[in-house]
Amino acid sequence: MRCIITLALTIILGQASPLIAEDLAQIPWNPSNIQTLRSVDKVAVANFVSQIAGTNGSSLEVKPRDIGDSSWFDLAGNELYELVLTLDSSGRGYFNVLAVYTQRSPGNVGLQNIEGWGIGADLSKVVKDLNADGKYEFIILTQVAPGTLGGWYPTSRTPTWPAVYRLKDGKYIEASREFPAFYDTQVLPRLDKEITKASKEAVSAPEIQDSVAELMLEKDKILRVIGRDPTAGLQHAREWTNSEDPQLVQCAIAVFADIGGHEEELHAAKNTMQAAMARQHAAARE
Amino acid sequence: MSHNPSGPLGITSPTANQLIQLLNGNYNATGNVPFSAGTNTTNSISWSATLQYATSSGSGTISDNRPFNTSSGQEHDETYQKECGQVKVTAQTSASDGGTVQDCVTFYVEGAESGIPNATITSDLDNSYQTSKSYPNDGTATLNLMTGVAMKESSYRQFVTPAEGNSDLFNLYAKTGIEAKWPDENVATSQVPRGAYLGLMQVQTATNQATDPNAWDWTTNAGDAVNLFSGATSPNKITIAAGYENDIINGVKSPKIPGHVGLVSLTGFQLENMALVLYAGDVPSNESLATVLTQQYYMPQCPAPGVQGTNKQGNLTCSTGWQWIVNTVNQSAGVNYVSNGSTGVWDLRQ
Repeated sequence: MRCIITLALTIILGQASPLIAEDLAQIPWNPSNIQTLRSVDKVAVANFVSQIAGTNGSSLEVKPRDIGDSSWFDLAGNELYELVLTLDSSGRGYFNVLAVYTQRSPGNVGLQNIEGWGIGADLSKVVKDLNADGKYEFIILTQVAPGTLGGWYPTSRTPTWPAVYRLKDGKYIEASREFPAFYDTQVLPRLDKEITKASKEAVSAPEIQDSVAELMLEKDKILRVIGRDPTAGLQHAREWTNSEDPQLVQCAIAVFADIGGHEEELHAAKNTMQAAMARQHAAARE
Repeated sequence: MSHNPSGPLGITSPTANQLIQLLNGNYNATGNVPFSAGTNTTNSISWSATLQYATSSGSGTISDNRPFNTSSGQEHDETYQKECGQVKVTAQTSASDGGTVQDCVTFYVEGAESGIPNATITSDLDNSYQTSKSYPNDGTATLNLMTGVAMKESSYRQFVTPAEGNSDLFNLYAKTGIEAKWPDENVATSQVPRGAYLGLMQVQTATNQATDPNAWDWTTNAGDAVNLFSGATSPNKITIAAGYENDIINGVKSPKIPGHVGLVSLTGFQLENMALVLYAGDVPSNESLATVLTQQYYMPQCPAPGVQGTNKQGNLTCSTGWQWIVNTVNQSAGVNYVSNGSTGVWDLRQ
């Protein structure tokens, strides 16, 4: 009863007063309430996220520091707003999940999680209308072949590539291939510049060769995804796989695993990696 | 103002661009840093030594200004603990003609140049983990588990130079060729700035470096990670994992999630693996419990030719007995984070 009175007063008075979590699911997520929705602070958003998970059995409390950034978007251009936020589940501020909350009806909220790597705490870099069609896409930084490697070694050097997700039938799907212009104008030129710079630096500082390989890994992944060259990076991988440098071998593993159909080469690269890591460990103990 | 050691007031120590290392304490403090200047009067010299630090993206800021006085030729010592960066020094005195003269110099406080000894790191990590609140005490725990995490996250490096791929703080390397050891910062992406995470365990750069000096005190950096995994953080990852284990075995009343009759408890070692997946962040915390339980390191399986059923309480039975198996189906990323033959946490233990 208190909830309904509070909600009614908030709407009638049109005040930008902060809503509490319990009200957030109830108030219609439409343009007439957008000011009120945008007045919700991170504490209330965290409580809301916990509450939604709690109604589905979770007892884990999502804290405000677990939320990198949150905002309201009319993602589909249909005058209904969604709550979008980046979420950290590790406790270390790795905002690796983009969560999209959709209100099916007042009190009935749906959730879609999209997993990436280091999506960050600035949604302006993530939520964009790339093709100006009135619908928002997501740019989700993603690891190359995360399932194979289980995270890069070391984590501090994790290379990523920007995957594009778009709306289809009310859900977001990975659709990078449909956005070549984004990569051609905003990603590949930057990557080429960085590769050139790093390649020059690597002449006098060989350890920077790892950075060159990681940048090429990202570029080749994009070329494969947008269909420019389905085996982009394969030649690089074959060169890297015999390296004594575990970083280069790791790049090779990522390429073989991601392209697929190169099981023998993947297996050989993994064996090389084991040997390279064993040598590194032995050297460290001396 | 530029340094003029030959002027009416000349700073003689520290010298321009001098590097002072964290070699004292537990590699988190300097020894005495001497300050001295010479002047041609007997007037007192007033000093200001201001240390500044921030990651390359501006987080974890430290600002420490220390005023003191000396006479000409007198040495004054300062020490720096759990803080480093650029120190701008200004000395000022009254000249013989009554005017004011100044001199200045900039030096840097850095991490240990030869690195923190691996044995020192290993000892600290092993001890921290084994004395942490939720360390599994059933005799199956992995004593050196945290060394694997440190290797996985940073290759055992708290401090790294720009020539080794780290940020070039203060443009020191670009301007002078001097390679200082700064806290190891994460590589920047288009969405995450460099320095959002740092150090041995690649934890989030603490905003308040006075209370949580995880940039410059490697033991604090390590402690932050151990606390999260099995220590003071409530709930820590081991605790959360134990909760999920209980839910899978015994089921949940509301919403109804069936348990698995006869499924045995996990060992301490197995709970560690569950906790590592949570530490890696591979299970979104906002998902429904039913979904979360399917994304753990282990999942229950009814081994063939077992037949599943449901008992009166609505829990699942298995004629051959439920067993835990490694969940490569739904959690390949987390499983490989734990162990993949070469670069998983388990594979990298020291």
